[in-house]
Amino acid sequence: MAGPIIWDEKQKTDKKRIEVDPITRLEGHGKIEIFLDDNGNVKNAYWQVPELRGFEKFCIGRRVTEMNQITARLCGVCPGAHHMAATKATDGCYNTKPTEAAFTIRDAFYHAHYVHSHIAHFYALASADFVCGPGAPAAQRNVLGVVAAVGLELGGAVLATRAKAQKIQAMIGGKATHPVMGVPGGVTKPISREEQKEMEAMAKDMVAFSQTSMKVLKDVVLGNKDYVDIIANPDLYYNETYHMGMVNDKNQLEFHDGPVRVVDQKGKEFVKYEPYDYLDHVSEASEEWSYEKFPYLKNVGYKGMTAGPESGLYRASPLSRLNVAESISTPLAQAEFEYYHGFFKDLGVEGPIQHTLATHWARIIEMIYAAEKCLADIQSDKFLDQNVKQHDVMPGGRGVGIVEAPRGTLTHDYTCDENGIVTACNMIVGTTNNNGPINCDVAKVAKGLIHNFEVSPGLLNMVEMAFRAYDPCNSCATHSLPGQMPMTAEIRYADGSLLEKVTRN
Amino acid sequence: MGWWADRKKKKEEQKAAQAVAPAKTAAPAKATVCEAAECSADKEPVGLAAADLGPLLPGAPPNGKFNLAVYWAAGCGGCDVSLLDTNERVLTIADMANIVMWPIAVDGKEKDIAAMEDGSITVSLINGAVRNSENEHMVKLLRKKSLIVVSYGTCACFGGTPALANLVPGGKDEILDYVYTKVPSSAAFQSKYNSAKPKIPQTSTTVPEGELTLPVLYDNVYALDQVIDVDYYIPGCPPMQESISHLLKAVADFAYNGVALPPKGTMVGVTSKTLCEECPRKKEYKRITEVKEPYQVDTNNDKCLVDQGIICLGAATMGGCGARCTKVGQPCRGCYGPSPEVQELGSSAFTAIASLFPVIDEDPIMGEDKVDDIMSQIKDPLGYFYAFSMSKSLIKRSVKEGGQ
Repeated sequence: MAGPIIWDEKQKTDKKRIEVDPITRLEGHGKIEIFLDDNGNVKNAYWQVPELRGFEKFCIGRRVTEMNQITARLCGVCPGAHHMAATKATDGCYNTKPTEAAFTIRDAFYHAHYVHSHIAHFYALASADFVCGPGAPAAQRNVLGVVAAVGLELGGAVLATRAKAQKIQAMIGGKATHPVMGVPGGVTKPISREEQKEMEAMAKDMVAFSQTSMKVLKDVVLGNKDYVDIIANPDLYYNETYHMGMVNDKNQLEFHDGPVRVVDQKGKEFVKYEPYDYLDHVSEASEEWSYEKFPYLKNVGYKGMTAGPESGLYRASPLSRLNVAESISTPLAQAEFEYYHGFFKDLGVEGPIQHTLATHWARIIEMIYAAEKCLADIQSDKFLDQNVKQHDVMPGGRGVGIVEAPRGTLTHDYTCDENGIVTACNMIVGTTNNNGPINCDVAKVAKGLIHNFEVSPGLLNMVEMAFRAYDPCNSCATHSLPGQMPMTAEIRYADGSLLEKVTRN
Repeated sequence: MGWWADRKKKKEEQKAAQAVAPAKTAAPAKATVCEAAECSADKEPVGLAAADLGPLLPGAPPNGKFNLAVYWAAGCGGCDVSLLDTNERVLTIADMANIVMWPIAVDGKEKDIAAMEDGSITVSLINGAVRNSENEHMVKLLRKKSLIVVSYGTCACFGGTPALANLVPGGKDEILDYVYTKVPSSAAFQSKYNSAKPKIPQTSTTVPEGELTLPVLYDNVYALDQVIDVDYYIPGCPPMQESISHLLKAVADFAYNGVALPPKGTMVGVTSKTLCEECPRKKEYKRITEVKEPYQVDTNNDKCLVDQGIICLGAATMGGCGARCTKVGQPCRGCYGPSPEVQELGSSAFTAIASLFPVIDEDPIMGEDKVDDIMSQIKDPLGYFYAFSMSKSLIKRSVKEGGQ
């Protein structure tokens, strides 16, 4: 396999106007605007999200028990996360909690969902940047190019393992995409022994494959000094923000149920809050130039697109979760967690890891944890317990459900009346948390790489890599459009006119 | 046909059984539901049923591949994930066709498509509803460039979940106002930093470095064929993976071997029957006197959910999904759209449900109070019976009283 192409040839342009519409995927569902000064250096850059669907509004008047099916349609990439947060919020509206069996079944479902989501992101979306290289021709820089480079055997294993993760979700939830199993206080059906056996075998394969994925990451990314230099460069993919993530009662990594912990730039706990108190700690700014909101820590305040301790912007991502967690409860993931922190310590990093591209590494560690946790749930006695519904529950009141979605802390907050009809609804979704930090990263990387009017497709792809690390899902973020990152980038002169068009094929 | 035919047949069986051997009434109750419907099928199947094609799709001949585009409008990405869910087949899609556009997986830009000759894309699969100016522009462009346009998934076919926004009487202004100023996490921001005038996204904004723009939202959410001409439909939220394989095989046979395509308007991946007929649950057609939700019932996993008091739209919904939801104990919410016999999903489902109230000849006469009593147990009927089909409903949208 040929080595990745990291740097491609820069082109200088003397044209008045350059329009860069590089980013593979269509224009429009996401957009980067880069403004240059008179010397051809980057003055500022904006990450815009151009859609809104308005779920918060049209969910009012619906039955609260429908919410976990309606809000799953926020995003077909992470419907499992919305289904879970909505189900937890609905539990709250019914003033109940799931039975032990239901909790375990939901937990197994959710960790299988993580395995699917993290595989899809790493292999289908992110790995092309490393396997083929950021400067590789765009036509090769996609999942098919990855399969061509790594071989059909690994490619086949990727597809097969993702299919198993989907199958486990479908066996529990009816469908992997847009599952239906959650009801207030429970799940719709118990698990049979035959089903459990089938799922156990698949979960074991998931554990094995997640370790293979770690090996791929270590070989392809960490084994390449050029990549390590880029990852560790504090002038590129690096911003000192707060970090948010869920933990369990031992401050360990947690996706499903627990308080939310925020650490500061030194790694010190800034706050730990229970789901019902989220409004005391998080607010959402809006700007006129994006439909996506900008969440911030209320008690720090909103300062716009800037990082540091004075700015309330925080990140909530795999990187963040491994910054707020003090350890991981499963052995294989814990070993990798220690190696990961040791690696950065050796580079002289104290406190939280602020290197955006390390998010990919954190994601693979989470994939291992999710596979191990899914297997443990499936092997638990509670998984086969037939008592899957609470009895005599009544609607009326407020419920707040928080889970860690693969792309960040996900909050659903509903109020319903005694008929079970939703009267108020609010959601802060995974990707949205990172909207401000993505803007900061995109601007910083653009400033770091584009000078003197010199641009290249590869450099622009490296600007994209700043947000791709977050796996931003605009579908969720705006409660709007689908998918990963179709977008447009435009580079402008100081007077607002566009620079030349650069095509990327 | 379908659910009604079964019900009629069931009644006839019961009558026959009562007439011949009253003692054995329980025996024939093991409904021969599917057989009955198959035997009495009096017209051609409306759709291409999904068949198992094996792992591979036909490859391209040496003289070149056909062009395939996949586009998402206002959807959620689940339809694209359903293409990935074809697993090993997804790799053979690239063998059979040039993927000229597929936002989630490969490159392809609006300008590249615009530069192509009209009709040079053999097939475009479009998922998602049409929600804003940009969606409309792209689907019109793809229509112009494509021989075949497929409405892929429930949002494109019927409006889907996003079309519930049509139930907001004040349209986009009411939605923007609520989302950016009323929800508590935003209200806190607006009152602290923008007490004079809330900051709400604008289609054009001047920032220190220049002007930034955003697309225009529409008041209404439209199904795809309300905006452009559509050749085929693949419903489902998301569609079954077999549907797409089946369609692509048909297109490859057409492009490479000259095999005629199915008639325009064909639904792909559906059966000519209702969901009820592929649902494994046993139906007894009990009278409904009380409406329940799944959480209130220790569901019997062999019996029809309607017989257990749970409202299920299976009787009015097109089959083809394999009863994915009802198998795990959730009622059908109608994502495959209305069955061929019914014009409009919500009203038909509602009629089917109401017919199970005790209102038939042999039932004791039911007073208005009792009707009210049962009806009032159905909460948010609009949102429930039109959970996926608001764009294509007769209702279309909510409006403010006396206005608009």
